[in-house]
Amino acid sequence: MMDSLELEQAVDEYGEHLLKMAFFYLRDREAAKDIVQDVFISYYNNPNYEEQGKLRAYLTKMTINRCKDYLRSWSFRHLKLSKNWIDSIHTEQDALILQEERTELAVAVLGLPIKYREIIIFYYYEEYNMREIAAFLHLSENTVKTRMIKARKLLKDQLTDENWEVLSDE
Amino acid sequence: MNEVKRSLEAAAGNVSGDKEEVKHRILSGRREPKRRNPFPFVATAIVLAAVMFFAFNIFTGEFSDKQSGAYEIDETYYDLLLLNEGLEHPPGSIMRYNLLLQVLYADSLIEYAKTKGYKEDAKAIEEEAKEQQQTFYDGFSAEELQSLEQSQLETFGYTYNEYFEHIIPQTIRYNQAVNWLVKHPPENMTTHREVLDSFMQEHDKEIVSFMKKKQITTPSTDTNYVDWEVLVTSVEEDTVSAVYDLDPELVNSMSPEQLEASNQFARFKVAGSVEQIKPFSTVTITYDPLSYPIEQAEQSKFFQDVTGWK
Repeated sequence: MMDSLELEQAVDEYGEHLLKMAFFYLRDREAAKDIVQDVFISYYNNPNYEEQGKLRAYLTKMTINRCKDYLRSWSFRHLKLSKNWIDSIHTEQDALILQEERTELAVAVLGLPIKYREIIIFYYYEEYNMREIAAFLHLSENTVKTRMIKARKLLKDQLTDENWEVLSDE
Repeated sequence: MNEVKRSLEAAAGNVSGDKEEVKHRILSGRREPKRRNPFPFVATAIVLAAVMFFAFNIFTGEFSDKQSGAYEIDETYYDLLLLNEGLEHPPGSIMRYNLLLQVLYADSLIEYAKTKGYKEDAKAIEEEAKEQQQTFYDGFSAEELQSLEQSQLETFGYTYNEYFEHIIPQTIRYNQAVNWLVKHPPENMTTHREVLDSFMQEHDKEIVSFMKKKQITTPSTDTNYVDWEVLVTSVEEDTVSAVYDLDPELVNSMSPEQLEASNQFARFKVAGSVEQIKPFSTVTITYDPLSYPIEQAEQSKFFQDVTGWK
């Protein structure tokens, strides 16, 4: 078992990234905190990971696996019925910043079904290429490409022309 | 930074406070993830409390002489809910109650919305369910689908088709009715408790019959109130504002607006004197978790029925 200082350092270094990734998957800040807490506790109790240089990817994988488990769970499927994740973005963040940062793009991305959303997140947010996404998510490269095409089609239907141009240019 | 990333960063916002909270929870020895927020819709406590009330009233015969309307509990839906829980839930188990109340709670809201002018669009619901199903299946190879189905069956005990045919449409029905109620709040404040009570009174015969058929029995308690430990953030006249499971240091650093926007915030209307309740004190409030206004489905709750605190 690692010591508390190492754990604290890991939380400081990777905590914010993992919280954001969990939020992108779950669209629920409280659930994201629970998931990330659980990830660090598991890591603390069983740090069988030697390649610290890839620790970020390792913890990210743990986080998204737990997020997917949560999304498959009944508590999410049936009880998390509302659309208030959009409201939470608008009530918790500064309105001017949101306007400036084109949050319409994020709302559209976060509104995608998870299998398409994660491709967009890894491509644009993590800046992985198709091959890296395929390896990370244990999918074939063709599947990743197919989902990317579908994701873009779904986004095009939702975005204004201006925002669609931004997305399609990148 | 690309525009999509910039936009996602903005939506995620500053999570440094969340990180500190998580770190504090881990390092302070709270090694298990905290319990989920008890305030949102259909938290376990709400279901439990409603069950207690329901069971007590049904079996004291209070509603037995009332006339029932045309109502049929969706048996397939209920059975799938039971299957979904995975474990054995023998006749008389509390889970059977909880799930029935979950069904009744949603049905009561839909029916109430209809009495206020909501018109359910069955075709739109069916189309949305089909669209969700199509989106879900789209892009998977036959092998992937087979593997998914296997995993689904092992985990939940029913197929994705059953999920999309029976569970998703019910969820959409509920969502649409709630959205309508949020946009069209009743003129006079009506609480979820009142809606559920009225619904159960009207359909008591169908409910009792269903309970008998499904071997659902009553729990041995007659209360519909729950206790909850909260941190008081402010007290104004008869209203106590409070948060649940937030670090006091974090609460101190948040503005009233930030606190109110938190998922862990709620108000309680406390009968009698509240002078002894002080901000930043921790109190246990005994309240009816269904006593909040019908239009507050997606925002901070204001619980109207508080019987005590300590």
